[in-house]
Amino acid sequence: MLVASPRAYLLCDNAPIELIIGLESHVQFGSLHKLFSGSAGAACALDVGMPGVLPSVNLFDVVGFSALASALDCKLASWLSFTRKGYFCVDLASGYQITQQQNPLMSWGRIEIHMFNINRTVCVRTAHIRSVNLEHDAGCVFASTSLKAVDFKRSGVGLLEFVSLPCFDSISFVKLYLLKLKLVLSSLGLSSCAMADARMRFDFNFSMNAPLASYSARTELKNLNSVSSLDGVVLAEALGLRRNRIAFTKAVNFKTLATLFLRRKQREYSRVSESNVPLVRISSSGQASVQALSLGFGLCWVCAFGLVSSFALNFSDLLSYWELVFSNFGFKLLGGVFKRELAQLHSLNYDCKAIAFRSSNKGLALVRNTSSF
Amino acid sequence: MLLKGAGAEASSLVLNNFVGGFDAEVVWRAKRAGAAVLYKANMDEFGVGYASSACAQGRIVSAWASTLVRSLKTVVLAGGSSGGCASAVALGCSAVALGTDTGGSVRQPASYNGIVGLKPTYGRCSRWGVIEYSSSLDQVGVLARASSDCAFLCSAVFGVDSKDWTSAKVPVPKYELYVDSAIGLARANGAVLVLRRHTPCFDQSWTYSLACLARAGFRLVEIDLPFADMLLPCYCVLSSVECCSNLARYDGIKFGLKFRDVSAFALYKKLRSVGFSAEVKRKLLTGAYVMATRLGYERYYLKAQRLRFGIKNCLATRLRHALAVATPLVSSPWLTGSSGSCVNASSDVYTVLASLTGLPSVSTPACVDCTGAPFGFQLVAKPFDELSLISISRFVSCVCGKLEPVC
Repeated sequence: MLVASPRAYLLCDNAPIELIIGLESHVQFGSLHKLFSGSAGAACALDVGMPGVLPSVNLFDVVGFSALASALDCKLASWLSFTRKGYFCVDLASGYQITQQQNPLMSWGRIEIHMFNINRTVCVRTAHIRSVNLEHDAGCVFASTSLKAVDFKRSGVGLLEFVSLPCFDSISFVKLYLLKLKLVLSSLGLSSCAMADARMRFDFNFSMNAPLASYSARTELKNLNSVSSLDGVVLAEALGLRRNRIAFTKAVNFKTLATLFLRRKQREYSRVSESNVPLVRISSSGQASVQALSLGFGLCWVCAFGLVSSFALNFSDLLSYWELVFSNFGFKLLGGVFKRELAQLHSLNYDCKAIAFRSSNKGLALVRNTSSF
Repeated sequence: MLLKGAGAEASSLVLNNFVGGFDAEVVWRAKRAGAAVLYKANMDEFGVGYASSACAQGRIVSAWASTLVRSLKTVVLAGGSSGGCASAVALGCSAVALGTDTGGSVRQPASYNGIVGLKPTYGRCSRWGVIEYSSSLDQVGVLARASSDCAFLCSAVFGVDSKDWTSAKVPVPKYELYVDSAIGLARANGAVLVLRRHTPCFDQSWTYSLACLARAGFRLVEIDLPFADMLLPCYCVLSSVECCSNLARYDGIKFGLKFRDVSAFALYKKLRSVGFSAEVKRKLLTGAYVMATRLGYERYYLKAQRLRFGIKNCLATRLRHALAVATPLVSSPWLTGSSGSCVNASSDVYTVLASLTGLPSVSTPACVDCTGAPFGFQLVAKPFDELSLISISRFVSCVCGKLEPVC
């Protein structure tokens, strides 16, 4: 019997306490080549952070992104942009990780999970995925009594980062979500999701909330690769977290089930747009084929100086690029420019009837069909 | 720029004993066209600097130093950051040189040494093998005594590269064939826009340069750039943030100068305190300050990016029916040792226009001023229109004559 499910809560001294949990899952997707360096397995100059080398996007042998978008009930982005997340760590060769912030691979997906209760009722919970980002992995640190070393063979391997909303309220919900995510990814052939081989790992963010009484700041447990020992660790942390007002990041020792303080959670990372990889177009067919618009940032030059026909850019590419630019840079700055480009395109005999402007409180909005006026 | 088997220290202690494992793409293309690489020249550390005074191997003196020491009673510097290349080309040690231009690093020393310095459109040639300073502003530039030499090298090294996804798929003409004949087309294509306000030091030299352009048959139109006061702050923010990001890879563990310490944090602190010069540290700290808080990120970095887009579009509008914009190049006629040691961000005020917008720009030697120092002016053209720049530069050098330092 299908029933609705309220948020789960813990009882502590007869007072209800809510756990608010968010997850970031990192999954190595199956590809022969590393994402930005293209090397097959070995660590190349880009993976080790050598100066003078540039990244490129290598997704030629990856199949299944559009199927994943369907499975998560969201759309595959047509344009990708990349950002550098900068922090100092020995396993991060270049001092920054290339990831996505503004134009991720997929946004606002969801996974429905059926939870079976003891009284033979079923409730359907929805796990909301805020974004699915493409990023690359860092190296692997080995530490023993005599030696501390970094293995860069893993550095540069492509990852899919599933960032969820803080919609989880219990460990069982988290476990079911992770299991379902593994099922989806392995059935699509994107990844084996073997946690033991570090193909899948997750960061566990949680905070405590006593409704109408008190709250705590967020604690993050990083790089977890086991769900079975989460119960003990999280509950122990949660009880100590009730009066915490400072956000921390911690690591977990699964042998002793102890947490190790890493750092305070302030503005940890600097984010800079990745200028070496311009806006990348990804096709919506079953296979992800990447076409780099090498004039991406300067496409307005192409329009302005009448070079559109020389480069055989198709019109829908141009329109989708302008939509992206509008959303990132704002309308006021670009409205006048776009009108001139439109006139230029019209003179080159493109069919411009499908484009119109609509004025609103937010400024000029680009609409594709005049019928939606 | 990396050269296989040769040291690639970028004039810094941090890259001490670092040897390039492969040739940079532009070097490989030049070699394929028959060039021979003679040497690597001194420069400002990592390309950060405007006076060639922040070099690990010592300051770089201009090729005109011995000419000017009698009139100025002081030694003048070559200008930065490609001062070594510019001095060498001006002294005749080589015909042409390749350097990287971020905010005027090829054009400024070219002006101080009386040679031609060309920065092509962003994406015109590959940056594979170039040690990065600021990824969205860096571009490989060409220094030469004669515009025809510049044309030869440009047609050899320009073009798309699959290893550099920012390089543009635009056909590259054989510039050396069209340099003389393109001047007629250039005259017919539009007017040369001239900046109304300029540095007062250059009144006579600037007027003479404009007279040369008028004599060449170009129609001169005076304009104002309304966004001129936004250029330097925008450039400072973007270049420092990207420099901070690109230089984060130097940690003293994998290559270059290596230290040992008890923890990674202590190691980073030791290396980056000792290895970087004051100029580079200033850039890194500015970038770190901008990115330290969300407010700083939105107030400075995002705003600078939006401004940059707006500046690009403003200049595109002005250049739509014109040939090029002519401006002075530097804010002071020469650089001495004392001017090199003080902090001065305003020296780049003219050259950052082309860097921020990604447009091609050339430094053309025009005349010698009253003290005997060479004066060059800058032309900024439409994207991928390096041919007009080279042909105008050639014509101006025919009119004004060659400038050669007296040694």
